[in-house]
Amino acid sequence: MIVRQLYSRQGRQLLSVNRQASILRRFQSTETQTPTTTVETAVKVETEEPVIPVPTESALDNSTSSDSIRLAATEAFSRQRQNVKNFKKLGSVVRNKYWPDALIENPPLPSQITLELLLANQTHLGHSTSRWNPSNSQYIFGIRDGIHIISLELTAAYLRRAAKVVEEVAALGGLILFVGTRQGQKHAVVRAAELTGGYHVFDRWIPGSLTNGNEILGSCDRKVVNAFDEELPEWAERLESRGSLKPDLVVCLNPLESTVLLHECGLNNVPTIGIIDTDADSTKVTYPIPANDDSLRSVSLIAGVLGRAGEAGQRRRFESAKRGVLGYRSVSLGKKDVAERPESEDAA
Amino acid sequence: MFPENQLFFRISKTLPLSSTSMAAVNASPAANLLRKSRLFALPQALNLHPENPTIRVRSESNTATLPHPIRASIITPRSSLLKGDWGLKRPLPALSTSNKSRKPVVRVNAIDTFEHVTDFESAQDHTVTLRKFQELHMPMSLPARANYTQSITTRHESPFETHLDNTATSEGIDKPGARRYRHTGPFLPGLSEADFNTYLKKVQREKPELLRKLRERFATQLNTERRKQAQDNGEELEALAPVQVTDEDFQKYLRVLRSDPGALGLAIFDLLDLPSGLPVPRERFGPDCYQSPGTVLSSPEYSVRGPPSTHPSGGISYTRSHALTYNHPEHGPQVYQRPAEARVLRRKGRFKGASFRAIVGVGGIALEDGEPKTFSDPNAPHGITYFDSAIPGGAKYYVTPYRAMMESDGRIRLAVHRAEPQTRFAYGVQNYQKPEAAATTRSDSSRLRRRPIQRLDRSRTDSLSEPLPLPAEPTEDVARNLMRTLTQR
Amino acid sequence: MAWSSSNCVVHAMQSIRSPTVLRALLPQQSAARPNILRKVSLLPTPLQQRTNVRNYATELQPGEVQAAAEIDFEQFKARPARIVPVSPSYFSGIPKFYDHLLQIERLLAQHTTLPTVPPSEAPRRAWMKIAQFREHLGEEVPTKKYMGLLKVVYRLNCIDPKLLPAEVDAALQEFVRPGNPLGEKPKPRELDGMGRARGKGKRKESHAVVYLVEGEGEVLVNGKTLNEVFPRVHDRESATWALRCSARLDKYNVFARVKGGGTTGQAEAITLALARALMIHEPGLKPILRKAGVITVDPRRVERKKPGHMKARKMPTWVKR
Repeated sequence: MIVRQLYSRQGRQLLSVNRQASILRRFQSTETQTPTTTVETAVKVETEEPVIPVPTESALDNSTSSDSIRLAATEAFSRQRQNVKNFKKLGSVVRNKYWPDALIENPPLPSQITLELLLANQTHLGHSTSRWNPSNSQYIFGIRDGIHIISLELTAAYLRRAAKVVEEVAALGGLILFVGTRQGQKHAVVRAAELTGGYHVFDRWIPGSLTNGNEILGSCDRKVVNAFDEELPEWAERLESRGSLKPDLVVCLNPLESTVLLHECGLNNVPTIGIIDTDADSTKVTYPIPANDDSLRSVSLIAGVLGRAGEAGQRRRFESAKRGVLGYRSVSLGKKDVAERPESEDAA
Repeated sequence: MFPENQLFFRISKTLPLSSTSMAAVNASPAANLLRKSRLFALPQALNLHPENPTIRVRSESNTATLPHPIRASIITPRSSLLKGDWGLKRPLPALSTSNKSRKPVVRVNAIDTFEHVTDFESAQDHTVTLRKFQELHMPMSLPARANYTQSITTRHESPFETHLDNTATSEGIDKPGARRYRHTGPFLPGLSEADFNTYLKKVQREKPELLRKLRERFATQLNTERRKQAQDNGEELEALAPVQVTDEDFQKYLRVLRSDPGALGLAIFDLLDLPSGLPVPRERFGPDCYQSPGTVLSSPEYSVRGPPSTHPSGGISYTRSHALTYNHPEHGPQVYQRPAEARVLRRKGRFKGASFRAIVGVGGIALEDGEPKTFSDPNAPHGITYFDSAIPGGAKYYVTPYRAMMESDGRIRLAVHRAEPQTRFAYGVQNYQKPEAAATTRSDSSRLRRRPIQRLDRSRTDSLSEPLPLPAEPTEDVARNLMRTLTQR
Repeated sequence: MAWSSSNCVVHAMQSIRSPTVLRALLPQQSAARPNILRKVSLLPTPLQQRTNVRNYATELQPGEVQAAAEIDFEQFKARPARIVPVSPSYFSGIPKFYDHLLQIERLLAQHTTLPTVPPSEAPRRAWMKIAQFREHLGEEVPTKKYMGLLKVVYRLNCIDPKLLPAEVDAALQEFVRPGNPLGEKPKPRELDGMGRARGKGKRKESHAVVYLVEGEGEVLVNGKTLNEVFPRVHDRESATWALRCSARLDKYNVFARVKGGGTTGQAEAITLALARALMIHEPGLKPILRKAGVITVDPRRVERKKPGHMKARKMPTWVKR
């Protein structure tokens, strides 16, 4: 008690003195383990009503202020969102704004490929000349600043050819698999697969997915669909006896790291499309596209163009289905047997 | 010095230019496009000025900032920066670019290497130096060795003057009084022995061509002599036939040149277009010395140290004169520009019997403080004469820069003098003062109440008569100072 | 066939490599494509052979209407055409996991501008453990990948709860452990019918059970008085420290049963058990007891002896020979 009074009386003077800390320390007690305050309180009462620690004023202040700030921020955010909604149509419109994701979200059509587009997306930058793979000599335009420059015309020609391949495979109902396992390629791979109605692998190609597919992909779900891609659940039982699926076309965005995948595709007669940089072996893929495989923009462009081609192919397939034409041979599942089964179930 | 830094390259938004420009007709469309691409438009790296061979031990760091940039700096828009897209072979990692700086600038050493990486580093060092220099608002001057004594300030001479801004191929090079900043030949005193031998071999290879030129020179010489003679004798100038130089004459001329070092020196400097150094006093060295013609370099310093490796402006400032005035909202147009803060890098002192001046850094440029070496100035700012660890942030004081020059090896040289108290006051800046000194002695501002602030539009006597109304010193500061003095007792 | 090895592919390709003849050859290439695909198991011969050279579908004009026989669309729709994977991530081996990952990453990209709260203030949810998640999906998800997924989940959970969109909330519920374990609080323990509070405690090798009743401050340990069991003052002090620090020494009677370990361990096991029992009587004392350090479990145990060591860490003296 004495300490507290002394402090309140002399506090201001003490503050101004330089040795303030040591003086205070002298008055502080070190033995604070035995509190003598609450000894006398009735035990019964306390057990019924647990002591709620009364928050000190400062603590109360803090919590309320931070809460109110957050509340205000939340309200301001909602208001701003509402404002944006209300006033979006007013004012000037900025067109031709540079949007880095445009290549992925809204990729160009294969017919829109130009040399300028390819150049702007860095497809011409090859690897250091010391990294050259001689099988690429036909795609190389020259040397500049210690790197090989890939010919833009050839890139355009090979990209158009690959786009045609993708489109035809999609039109014939083939399964198109996009593989890009490098960091940052995920977005492009998923978007291209979405456009094509195909499949994607962006993390790691599990070795043996094709050669040992029943073990690795056996538990993954499949379905039987009709010409309009509508599921036919009554055929589902027939699936169990069949092996895992294999893609009909593999688009590989980084052939350099996907040696296993390309080898498996070769063993299983799966045609492949690959981006071949100057250090990659162009004989590893069926349809090479000579281009820069390191730049994300280059890869996004190529994946996007192929995705657009696949989209066009899918559209063709659905159009022919609407006309009642199946442009490809349907899968055989022992037709008669299953066709009878639903009737018998109905009868039962 | 910063020719490429002036324009930051933005490769990432490569857009091909219109095809109306002069494109090679024969080249393929792709080749034309490539030629116009931003990445290919990046200038090649400059060569660093070679250090003179010396037996002195140099303590230089490999990672130190180069005296001048040798590669272009590259920036990228923020939207692309998020993806690491710099328009290069591959995206650059965020860890060493956007995570370190809000506005990263890089320079590329190699677009691709054997290790599958793009070799790049931050280019903030030179870009920030350039930005700081531009904040000084200095024009570049031609160098003149005159700043050892503060009393002599050389006249400002812009390197952009028409009669100075010439090279060997400039149009105005033949006009009388024209000077130039570059020759096609090398600066012989600056060459090492190996370089000199290489140059000699090159000259030997070109011997027939040089002899042909010498013969033409001889012919013109003869013609002018003949013309002069004819003029003196009153002959008709139109009827004069040009003198035919026979092989015999030419051989004789060569023999004359060989025997007379004075004449040979002049001929060689002319033929090889070499920059000549300072004139050699013939009476000291005798007649055997090869004479050099008078220098035509734009600055006498360049004839001593060699012509500059870049344009004498270095591309860091394009203004011709220093005709800038700061208009203070209260005190009107100012005589002096805004003072810049100088950091004391090394205090003044003595080492092994030799005394040296303090070295200070202004806007990223190191220079010597103007204080005399031997005796100390009582009004010198804190931290110059001795090291004081108590100064927060290190010793600094304000200076007014007045000349910026480009040395022949591409370094910027800045000449400054200490900012006058009234200049500092006009701009609201103050040198650091020790706390007790500030409290006990009268501060700058209090002394300045009686002092006029120099203005451009009024003479000194005028401003003396009306002392400026000064804002009262905040009472809070007074109280705090008082408190501090009390507690420290 | 020509496609049996990659080398054959190359030979086949060589004929159309040259860029100058490439354009001329491309249409033929597309016409020849069905032959390539014939070999692929699922992909069958096209019924229509296109004879005319076709350009891109995107440029194709709708036309060339053929008069066809009437088609029974009901039958056509019921006919199976293809077998396809359910998920676009089929070839990754763990398709359901990747579908989840892509979904919540899409949500994060969509709602990344929403204001967030610090992680400490985000609503507490018990996320699925890896084993549970594997069971939930029926796929062998690698731990590292699940941790990566959880990072996105944590970030989404940090969105201000007042602004959390319903779809995000629904997506997050997918990863919450069933039964909401964090929501279930343990039942507060009570005195038994005879007014006793029971507390258990462990320290080193000792286990103690303490029955606490209101009384006059008598202490019996294993039927003996405190002085008989603990000859050392320090042990006696520490055994009753919970009562002493809360000044309840003369308010309760203590019956303790303790076994195992040495005297220190037994004394401190009683401390813990006693404090826990006291908290049943008076929960309001918890802050004091916490501060006094008597309800903090000391998990230290004797370190095992290792081969080559004399004790847990002691090494025999090195002798040269």
